[in-house]
Amino acid sequence: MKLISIAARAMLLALVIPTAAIATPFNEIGDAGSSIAGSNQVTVADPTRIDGEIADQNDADLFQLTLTAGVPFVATSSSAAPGGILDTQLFLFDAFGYGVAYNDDLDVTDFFSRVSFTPTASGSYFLGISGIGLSPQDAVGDFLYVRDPFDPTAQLGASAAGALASFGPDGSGLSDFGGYQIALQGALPVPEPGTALLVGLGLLGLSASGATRPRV
Amino acid sequence: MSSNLTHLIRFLSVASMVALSSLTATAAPKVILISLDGARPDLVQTYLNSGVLPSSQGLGLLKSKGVFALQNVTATPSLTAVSHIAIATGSTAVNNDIPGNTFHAVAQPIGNTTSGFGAPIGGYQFNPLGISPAPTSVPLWVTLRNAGKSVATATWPGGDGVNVTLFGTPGTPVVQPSSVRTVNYTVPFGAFGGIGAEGYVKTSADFAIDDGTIAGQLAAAGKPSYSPVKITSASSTPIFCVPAPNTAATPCGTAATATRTLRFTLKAAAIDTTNDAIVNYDTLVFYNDDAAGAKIPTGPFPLPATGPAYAEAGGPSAKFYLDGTGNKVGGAYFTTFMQPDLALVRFARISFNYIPRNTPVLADVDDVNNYVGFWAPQPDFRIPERLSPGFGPFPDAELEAVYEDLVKTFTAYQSKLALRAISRNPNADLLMIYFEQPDGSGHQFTLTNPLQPTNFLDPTSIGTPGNPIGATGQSPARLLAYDQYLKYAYQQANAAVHSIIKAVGLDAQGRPRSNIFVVSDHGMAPFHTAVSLSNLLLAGGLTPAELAATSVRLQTSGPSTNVYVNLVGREAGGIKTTTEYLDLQTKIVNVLTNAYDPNSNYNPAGTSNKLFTHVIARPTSCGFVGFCTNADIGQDFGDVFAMLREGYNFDGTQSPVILRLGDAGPAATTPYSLPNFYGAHGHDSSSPNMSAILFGAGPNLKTGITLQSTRNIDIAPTILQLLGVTPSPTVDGQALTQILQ
Repeated sequence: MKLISIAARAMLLALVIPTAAIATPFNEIGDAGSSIAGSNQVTVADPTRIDGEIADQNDADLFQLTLTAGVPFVATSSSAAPGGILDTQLFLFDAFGYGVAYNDDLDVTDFFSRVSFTPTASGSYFLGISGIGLSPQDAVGDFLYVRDPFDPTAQLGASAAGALASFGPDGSGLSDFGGYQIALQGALPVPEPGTALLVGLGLLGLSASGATRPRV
Repeated sequence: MSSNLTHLIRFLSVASMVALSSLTATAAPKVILISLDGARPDLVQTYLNSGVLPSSQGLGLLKSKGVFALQNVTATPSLTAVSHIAIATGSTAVNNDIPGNTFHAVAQPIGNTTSGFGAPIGGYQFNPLGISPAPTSVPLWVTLRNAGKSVATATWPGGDGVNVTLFGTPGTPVVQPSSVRTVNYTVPFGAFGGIGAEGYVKTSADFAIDDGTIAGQLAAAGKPSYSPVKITSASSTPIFCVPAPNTAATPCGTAATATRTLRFTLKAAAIDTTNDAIVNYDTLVFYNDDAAGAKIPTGPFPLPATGPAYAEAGGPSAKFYLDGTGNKVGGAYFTTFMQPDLALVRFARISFNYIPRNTPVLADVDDVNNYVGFWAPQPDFRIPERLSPGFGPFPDAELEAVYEDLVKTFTAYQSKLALRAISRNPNADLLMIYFEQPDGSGHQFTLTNPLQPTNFLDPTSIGTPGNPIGATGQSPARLLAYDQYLKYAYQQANAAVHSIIKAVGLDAQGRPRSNIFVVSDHGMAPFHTAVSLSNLLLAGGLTPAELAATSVRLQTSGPSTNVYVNLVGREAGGIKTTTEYLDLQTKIVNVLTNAYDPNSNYNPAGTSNKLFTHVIARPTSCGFVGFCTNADIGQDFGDVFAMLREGYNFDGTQSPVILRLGDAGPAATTPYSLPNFYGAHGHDSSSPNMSAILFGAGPNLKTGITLQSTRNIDIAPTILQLLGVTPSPTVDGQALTQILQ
């Protein structure tokens, strides 16, 4: 089983690593959804930046990326406007929508966000961004993460709640929205459709290896 | 990871989150009073209008959901200590008896002074010297606590847990007990630890190749270097400190003493953090070469410990804690420049500080030390002004980068301290929080008047080329840079306010769940001329003997001054008779009243434009010369109190003195010279430039109210009314009932 998984990972990596990477920002397509099903797939080669907009206080955007086992992934938000100010939250979900990382603020007086995560399994992940006050919930309405108002810089890891179902107001009454950029390190694009079958194989291998699986 | 362990961690995580969630719901003190030192209402408005400050955060949010004042008249003189005590008491400086940031309490010998931040609020009993049986003002925290309310102060002046004495007085009796200055949670403002800022310049010849010891320890700590580690000295001399459990007012120094026995020899290891097969050093690691164990410990480092300071070239600053010090002292390092081959390296040591360990508030001090960290280095004007040693060869931009880093990191530290205070006092009736910015940046960067030199070493760098005659003109680049620095300071201060709003959350109407007031203590005005008071008085005809330190004390605070005569029967050891007192007082009043700047470049109106807006003599009508008071002069004001007009300041004289363009000199005796910084306060508080800010929003405050003019002494009675507590009869202000609902 493990051999299959390793082989699948190798194939996956071989397929998704671009041969002539050109750093081009990925622009949000339409309004990226706030659920796995409605997410944008980041397909640009060597994705180092996502440009998008939180349209209003009820908007959250999800982007599908490929991450590589053992390769640190870092996503950092900023304002689309030079010198602009935006109070964001960043979330990282696994292929099934379970929370693996969350951050509210870079510093107590710097309201942008940064998630850092080194996967143990290669495959698809979903990067979520929302304005302060709008947070991911599972199917029964539990929040995947509860922001600590006295330690907003905390980097939280795996969530104990269920998989992402939607985003909802967290009760803080806070909100913010506007154009954003997310700088990416350690991310790969989602494979082209022609490679999807092999990617699926890779994911199957990962899942079978127990690296990423639904909670019970 | 085993499944059981995974579940346990998740359980603990969830349990923690649930607890935090509960805390969130209740963590909203009824009133939070925030002071942004030196914030001007017109600048806040300009920045809100232009988008420099966001309308949805901090002051913008408070304005849109509550009340704000176009002008908030502060105390006179408009100084930090004076105004904060006026805000806290609702009493004028005359009545709360804090007439300056530093002043001479008249019971002291003429050679001694008292800090306005640590002076008895509401005065003291003169004879016999001791605690006043009837203070002339009372901090609102005393009134509230007497009414059963809870109060927390996070570095608010006056909230420090100190037993106040007057230095130099016989027996130095307590004149204000610590109980008056201690609340439910009290954190004093930080103090200097004895090690100041210093700049260092190194070349490759100063670095020696490590024998492998430090490289190995760095690798073990997860900080490998991909080029050979090289080491240099990071201090001119070792640092010696008082070890725990002992403490001292100045706990560290550069020389060993009987009590300073803990030695630190600071070194810097140059490392290359990029694994790219190129020798390109990019970080300095500061460590104690005298450490008993590993010089590069691996951590973790429970606060206030930091372990080694990893200071990347170009910033940010890296904190360094002096392990084992009784006062819990720490500082920081900033690598301002680093050539990849170490041919030239420049770095700054930033001053070391601590939180005063006053016994009644020790638990709160250590709560901050252990959960927020040691007192972080503050923005230090001595660095960009090159007053601290070693910074001469540093380019301006590097020194300004250090200062800007400190604006950000110190404001963040104060914000964390504020959040800690809220989390520890979620149900407090009142929380009072002080922020140092934008005052420091205002002093440093208020370069907004054409007569200010953009190079304070060059008197011609004013105006435009040829205007005034001889001018080469201000540097547009410097004007632009300083404008950006000032905006940045306001952004950081605004973010500090918003961090508190985020902590308490908003209600359904979008208002903070706490009633949040944000004030400042004063505004800020540009100044172009440093004034020497002693030279001014000498030029006016007073003799050196009349101005001898045994005759008078010339105590300046910014552009205001209190001049004291060493009066028999008042000052301890006073020598001037009543007749001599009156003669000196009259002469000084006459000189100051008639003084004007003779340099037409700076004062084209000549004699008609006097140097002082106010020159006030202590009254004599009460019959006890030297002891009379009135509405302008309190017990410990000077026998002459005066305030300069805007554009002039008693601070900022350079050494050596630099004459202004058109000054006749000579430099040794000139009253007027070129200053080395730009912003001043302490002028007449009715001036628009000296105005404080007032913003407020919350469940008990009305929405959409614009007040034309308020007073800082109205804040305390307003808060007391909001909390249903009757003000002390000593309160001079009046509640702003029109904003309460």
